[in-house]
Amino acid sequence: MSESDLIRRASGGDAEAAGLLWQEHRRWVAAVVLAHKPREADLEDLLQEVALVVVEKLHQLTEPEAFKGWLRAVAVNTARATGRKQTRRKGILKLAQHEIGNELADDGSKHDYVDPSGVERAERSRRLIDLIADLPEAYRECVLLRCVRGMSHAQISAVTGMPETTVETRIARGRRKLKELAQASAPKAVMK
Amino acid sequence: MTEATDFNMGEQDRRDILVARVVDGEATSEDWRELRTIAASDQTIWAEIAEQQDLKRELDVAVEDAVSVAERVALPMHEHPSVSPNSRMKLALTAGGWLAAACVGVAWIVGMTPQQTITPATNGAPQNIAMANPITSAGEALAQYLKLGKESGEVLGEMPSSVVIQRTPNPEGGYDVIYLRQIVERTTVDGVYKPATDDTGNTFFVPTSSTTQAKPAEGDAPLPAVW
Repeated sequence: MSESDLIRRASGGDAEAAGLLWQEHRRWVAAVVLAHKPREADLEDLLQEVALVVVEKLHQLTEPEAFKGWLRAVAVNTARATGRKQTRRKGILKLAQHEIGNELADDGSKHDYVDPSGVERAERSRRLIDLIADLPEAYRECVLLRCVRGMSHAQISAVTGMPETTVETRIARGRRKLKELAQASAPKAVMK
Repeated sequence: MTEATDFNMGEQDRRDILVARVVDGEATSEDWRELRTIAASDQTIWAEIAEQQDLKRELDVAVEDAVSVAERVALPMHEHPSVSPNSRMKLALTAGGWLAAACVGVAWIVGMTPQQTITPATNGAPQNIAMANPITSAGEALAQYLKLGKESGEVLGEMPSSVVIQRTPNPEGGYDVIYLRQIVERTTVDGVYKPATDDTGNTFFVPTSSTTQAKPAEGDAPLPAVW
């Protein structure tokens, strides 16, 4: 079944088609949300919100060709609107994690499975995602989308509605700026 | 003047694009010719490419890790307009037979989803249908969940203590408390794996055969043997 057929069936109320469609697109939707959400907002919570809007509003979509742009708009709007509301709740959850984390720290036996290299890698990834949040908004989305299963410029263009040349330029500029940010944030060696 | 900062915006953009194309493995022979021309007067471009390759490798991993949470997010189909009471009934008839359909019918009346009302037995037939007494509060639902879970062996019990997350004075007296309830469940899996990372930074999972049991912290009472 072609994607257009799937979109038609999904917007016509076919729940199974909607589920398949979501599975196919949810990773890049996550990248779009990541690009536009406030720093402290939780990505998974926001994706749940996006999924809910998709279920509630998909029947309003009449043109299958407009699906990707529509889905992106839902993701962007949800990230911007809902993200701020969730900031406070996230703060509370972080407190909970902190307290539980302290409890776990008291019990060394629970750290047996921790792989130090995995932890280090996760920390590097977290820092990089933080740096991406410091990129100008215009570059963030294209840079992130390019990393999702190697989306092509054409695919990113179809999602964002930008010309491919603009997509390519934004990715190239964004990566240079990201490298500059990474270099600026790296610990500086002290010369004595 | 060979420093990158000396390029005007157009030249800088062109340079960035060439570097990006090389890093992404999409540079054409024309791009390479242009790169070599630039490198003839500014060899730092090779270092720039190497740095961007490192960055891209880490970026791909970081972003894939971050967006992988999407795999845990399914469409909430119970909210789908097409899932009307009738279609719920039809779905249940197809999936689980007339008994499940009857349960869904009653569940719809009391405003619950099929998953909340049917606990699959080991032979696949529905059992413990909580229809006789419609659940009207979260407390009743939790008690029912604990009861059915214990009967099926999926729930071992609730930990005796809760974790207080936040406590704020209530203007009308007392405190508003946000807390975690801790419920211990049991499940059966095909294997247990732990994450590891290879020399190139890729994560993979290795099976672990050790039987690990978290020890209670010193001073904590041991878990009760019977719940």
